[in-house]
Amino acid sequence: MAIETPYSKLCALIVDDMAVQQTTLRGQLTMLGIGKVEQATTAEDAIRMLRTGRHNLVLCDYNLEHTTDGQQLFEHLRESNLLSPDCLFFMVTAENNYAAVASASEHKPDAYLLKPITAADVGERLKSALERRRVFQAVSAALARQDLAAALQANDEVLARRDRWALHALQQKGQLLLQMGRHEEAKGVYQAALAQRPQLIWAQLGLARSLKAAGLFEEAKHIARDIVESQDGQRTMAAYDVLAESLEAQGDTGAAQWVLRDAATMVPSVKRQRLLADCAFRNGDVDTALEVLGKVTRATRGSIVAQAQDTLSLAQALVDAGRPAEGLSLLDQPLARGSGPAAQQESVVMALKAQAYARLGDRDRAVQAVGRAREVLRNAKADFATVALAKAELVTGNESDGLRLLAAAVSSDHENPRVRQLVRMALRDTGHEDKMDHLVEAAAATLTGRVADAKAMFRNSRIDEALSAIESALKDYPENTGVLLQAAQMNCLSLRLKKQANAAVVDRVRLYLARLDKLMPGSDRVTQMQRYFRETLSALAEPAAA
Amino acid sequence: MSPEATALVVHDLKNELGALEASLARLACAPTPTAAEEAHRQCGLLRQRLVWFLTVHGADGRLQAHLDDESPHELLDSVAQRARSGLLAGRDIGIAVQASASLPAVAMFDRRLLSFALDAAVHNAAGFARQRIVLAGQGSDGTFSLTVDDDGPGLLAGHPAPQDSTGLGSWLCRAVAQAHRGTMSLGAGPLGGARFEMRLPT
Repeated sequence: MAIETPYSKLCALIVDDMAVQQTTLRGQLTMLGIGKVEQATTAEDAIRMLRTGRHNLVLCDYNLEHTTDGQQLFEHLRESNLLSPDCLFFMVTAENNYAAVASASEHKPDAYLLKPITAADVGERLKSALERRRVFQAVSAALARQDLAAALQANDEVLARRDRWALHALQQKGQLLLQMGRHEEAKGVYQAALAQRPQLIWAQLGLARSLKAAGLFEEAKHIARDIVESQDGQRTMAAYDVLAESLEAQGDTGAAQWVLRDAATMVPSVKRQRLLADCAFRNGDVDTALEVLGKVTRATRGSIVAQAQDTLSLAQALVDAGRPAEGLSLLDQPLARGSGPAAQQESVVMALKAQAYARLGDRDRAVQAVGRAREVLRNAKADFATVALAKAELVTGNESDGLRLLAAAVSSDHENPRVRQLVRMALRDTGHEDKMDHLVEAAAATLTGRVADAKAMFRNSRIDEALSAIESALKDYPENTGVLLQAAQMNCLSLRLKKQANAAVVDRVRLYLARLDKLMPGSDRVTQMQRYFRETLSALAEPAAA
Repeated sequence: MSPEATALVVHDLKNELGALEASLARLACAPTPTAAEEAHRQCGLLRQRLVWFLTVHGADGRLQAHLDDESPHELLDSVAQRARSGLLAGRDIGIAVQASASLPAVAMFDRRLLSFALDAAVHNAAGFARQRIVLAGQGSDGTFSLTVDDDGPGLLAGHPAPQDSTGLGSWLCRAVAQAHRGTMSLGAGPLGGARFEMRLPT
């Protein structure tokens, strides 16, 4: 007969490739009274089993297998939403790499367990993690339904109890306020926390983020730099990000690359290397892009964290560096899973091959390849694929098509400085340096003009006309973040002016904001617009003043 | 740790391993649950001391604390619980927790390292206590202190401070206190024996 224990309804998964360790952990979990214990020996197995969503606890060894370590698996699970919200994740590490693992993680597991582990260790951490989960249940539930205001209120209730969870609640309050675009209040929370405990890294980081959200880049950089130069904070990757994002916002992309290089040196994870390679690629620093992408593709070969884009970017960098034959042989190898449809990926491969053949002087094959690339890629976007095709057109003699594509890429997201950078580099690499300024400015000016016209109509109280003008720009360029932000703002303004919560308009704004959130995750501008929308809705909900 | 201290600790651990081996040999001849339990307890304590040694030795003079928001109350309770079920099992020494109302509900510390330090202090106190060990905690002005008192003969009466025979516990506690930007001291305690105290920022 099964004995009822506090944990008898829990289902645990042990992820470890060593049979002895698996048996030990299984014995310990059983001793704690955990009802069901399953085992996986590889990252792939673990992912397959976790997809069922029935697990409440994962115990994963850091030194998992050759291609994927426990931290990579954990980050992959979190980023791909493969861990159900109520599943706890405990990382098992050896003494000698604990310091490095714990200080460098971008996502923190619920607990670290150091070998040799005893059942009492697991029991203690499990009790504490379940207690935290229980205390913050209302906050998590509100967050799951994206109700930030309710989450903040529930969190404030925990904070008011001033108990063991007060500091956690304070940290969460700062984060929630930042997510809600209320950076002034977030700043207050972090300053108050620092007045009590000046060494708190999360509060220093939060303060830097609040300042960045307020556009105070110099101040944000100052604090972020202090963090990464401190003994305790030198491996805080988020501080490097604040620094790099602030520099990029100020237009200093070269310095941003140095910061990302420092971060990738401190923590040479795949994620860090990708960020550095991406920045180097946009900056036209082909040598760095080659070096770093080479490392990434070698490190992730055959792993769950391998991405097709790494190989595609590396192939482009090889072609740009005058090594087209190597680029071609790379493209002949099977690609890892990509984020987009297979046909789209194939089109990018063809565009890159066309560039490589053209560089090798094999015109026939180049023309054939660009033709196939063109078949799939119909709509130009502000992305790598469009720029790769444009370069292929340019090097195979289709100058007008290539330039048109590049102009369309800029128009697709005319305020996005990264796209402008990519387009400028593409023109430079294909011998059209003279057209850089003109093409980019002209393409952006068209969109800037359309937005300005719509705004002018709005100011002149031609609200419906203004809205239809901005919607029409959006129809042409549905992923243009500048236009999306403007469209969201104008629609909110129209709601406020008409003092009526028109359901169609509200839905439209929601759609734009969702699209923006996907296109610019974590952007301060989007967060501000979300806040404005929420305030608009609550203003409309209030009874009209007499 | 100095090379001399390291050699001393390793030597001491080797002796403990020998003792465990002897216990296991006896157990193999005449297996009884009590003897098995005793050998298991011995093994657990040896493992604990090995982990302390690796923690101090591996840090190379710069032990790093991974601070997290933790409950000092829970920490004291778990140290006492561990002592009851391991170190003090089968002995006539009681261990009590006295958490003052001033002890903060939450503080920033590395729970694993502080557990090691308190375990080591309790280990030391158990060597001298007659009947009682008291684990206590209190807070004031942005700091909190954790103490371990015993009712043994006290420092002046020959308490061979610091800590244990090899000084491993002492090295560990000092390194843990430093890693938390705190202090550690040893003096006379209210129970007539010694008092071990750690004072750390909250």
